[in-house]
Amino acid sequence: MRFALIGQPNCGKSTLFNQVAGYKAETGNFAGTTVSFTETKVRVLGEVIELVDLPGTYSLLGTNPAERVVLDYLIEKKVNAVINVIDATHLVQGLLLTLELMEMGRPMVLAINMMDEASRQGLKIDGEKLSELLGIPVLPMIASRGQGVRETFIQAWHAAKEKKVPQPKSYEEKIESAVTDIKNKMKQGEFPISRRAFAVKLLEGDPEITKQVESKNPGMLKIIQGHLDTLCHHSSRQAVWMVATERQKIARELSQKVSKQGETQLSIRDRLDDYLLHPIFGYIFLFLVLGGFFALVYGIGNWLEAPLLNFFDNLTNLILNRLNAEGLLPELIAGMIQGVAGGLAIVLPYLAPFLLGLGFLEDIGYLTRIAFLTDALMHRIGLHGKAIVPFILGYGCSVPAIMSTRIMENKRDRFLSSALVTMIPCAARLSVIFGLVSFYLGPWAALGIYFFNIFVIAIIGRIITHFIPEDSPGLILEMPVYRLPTLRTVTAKAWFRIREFILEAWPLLIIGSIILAGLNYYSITPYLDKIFQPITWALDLPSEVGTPLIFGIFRKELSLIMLAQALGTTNFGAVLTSEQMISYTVFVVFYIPCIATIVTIKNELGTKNMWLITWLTLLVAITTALFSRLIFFFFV
Amino acid sequence: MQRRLAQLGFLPGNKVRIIRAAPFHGPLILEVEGREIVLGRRVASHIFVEYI
Repeated sequence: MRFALIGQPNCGKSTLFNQVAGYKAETGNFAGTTVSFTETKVRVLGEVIELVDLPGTYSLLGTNPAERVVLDYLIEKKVNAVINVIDATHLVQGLLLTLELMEMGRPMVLAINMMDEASRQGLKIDGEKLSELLGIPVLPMIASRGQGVRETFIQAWHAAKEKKVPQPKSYEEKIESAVTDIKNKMKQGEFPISRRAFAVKLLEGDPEITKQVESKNPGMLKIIQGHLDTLCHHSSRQAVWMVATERQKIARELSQKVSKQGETQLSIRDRLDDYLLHPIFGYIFLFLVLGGFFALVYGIGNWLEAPLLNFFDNLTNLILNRLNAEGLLPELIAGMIQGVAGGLAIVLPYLAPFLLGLGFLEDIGYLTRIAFLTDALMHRIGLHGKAIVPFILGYGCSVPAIMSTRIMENKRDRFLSSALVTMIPCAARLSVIFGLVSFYLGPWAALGIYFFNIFVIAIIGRIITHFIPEDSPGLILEMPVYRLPTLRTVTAKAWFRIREFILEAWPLLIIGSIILAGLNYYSITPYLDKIFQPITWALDLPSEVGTPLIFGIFRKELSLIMLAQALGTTNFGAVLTSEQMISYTVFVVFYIPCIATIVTIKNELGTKNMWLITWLTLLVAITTALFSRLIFFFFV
Repeated sequence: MQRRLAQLGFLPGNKVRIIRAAPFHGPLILEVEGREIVLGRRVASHIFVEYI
């Protein structure tokens, strides 16, 4: 059997999912889109059930990829029962989706989540009465504490066994007669969802379903258009609005019948935004939060990185001594260990605390506030507030940052934010900035590179916006109330993102390291240097740095580690001038993203955009490195 | 676009209240149907209201 969890964004659906999901949970991609959903297996009354967590959606209109996924899933996959989760504090809005789901002709139960939040606001909801009015089981739930979860699944199981299909609510006469007419003219079983749902979707003008009808039964289109015209003529409004208004009317009536508003107990939580979104204090607080966040992440990362690297160094030596052989094999083994170490010692110590912290900020509700505060700023570089999330992530690792651009609605915004995010110095490039610039030229020079980087990204954003102007409507977000997240939801969320790194980027890192070791063994480095010669010449760098730069494409921190090998010394101060160090670092910060990032861009945005972004970064790197030489020429 | 807004509660006849606005011509926070919605100025400028 399969149950589907459906609810509006922020209704606590994922909290519920994480409560029941074991560690076997899997993420999957729906064909053709990148909006993912998660599946897990749960045991209900001794039976193993597949539970799918569909993306949060306000309605089934299919206006954005997430909604499309939910609708398509309901149409194409066999779902034995729908568990509809709604937020008790937004009953009317939640019921809108419930009413729509009831039309789909699948057994369903309604879970009213966040009952604790509702009673805090003095709201009383009579679940039994709502159950009577809707004709489906209604269960109160506090998902964060696991209350009502078991009962919900048991009821869903019963509904699925008895195949109890809900009776949908009727709309006003004119809509109903149109629906009935369309329904009757369709053949039984012609389409996989209930005929009523299909008829309503057609009246709402769903493009996909209209297309399906066009191919299967072209005569229908004329009939539908006729109904649409009549409805429009009667009310001077489009049918889609009439249906929406009708649903709202029904939802409001239901809500009035079952809920009672008592005394509201306002707490500090409700006044918090007065300070946190204040035009002055809000930004000070934002600065402190982000500063503290990064300090914490780098603190933990640094603390873990050195001993872990040490451990892997010892391990390599131990294994090489044991093998006691010369030749290709030990080199390859050493390369493999380096690849494993790169992921475990250099990326994960920063990525894990980073994602945990980010998950916390997200669940507590602060991330949306950051988007609100930075929206005006982001518009200056042709994006809007939502893009701040990939930007923050980018300082940890470009891979999750590019994946997170999925939250942007349109392709242009995704492309632009991905392109800009790849130029943000990630934790690996940080090691170059710290190891070279900060160590030899002082922390202020390193800070200078950071600001220079932000400045360049802003300019590139403006330039790209000049060619592909902003056409998205801007920020549309629901402001969540502050909620104290549970440890479990935060760790589960972080784990899913870490897994994406482990499964998608880490293997490439290891393979890259092995290939590098092979190349190194056959001493092909002089040829590699040749490839970058035009660039090293233009930047007035020793031609030996070509190899570390190529290695840096596999793993960014190699452009520092390999530098020692290429130049034959770890005392870079003796062989490089400060000008050379700066132009080298600037080049490294911007040029070609690492293999893992390139592959991620390809998966998310396609091959064409992958090449586009790769060449763009190379161009930007050369230009900015030359610019840094120019600054030295004039001012130093 | 219109549908997106409709889902969030911006339907004819509903009451909207401006709660706060971000500085530098930033987005607005609007209260509609008991929820707080953040809207960029460009979107917000397309919503027509009557003062009450």
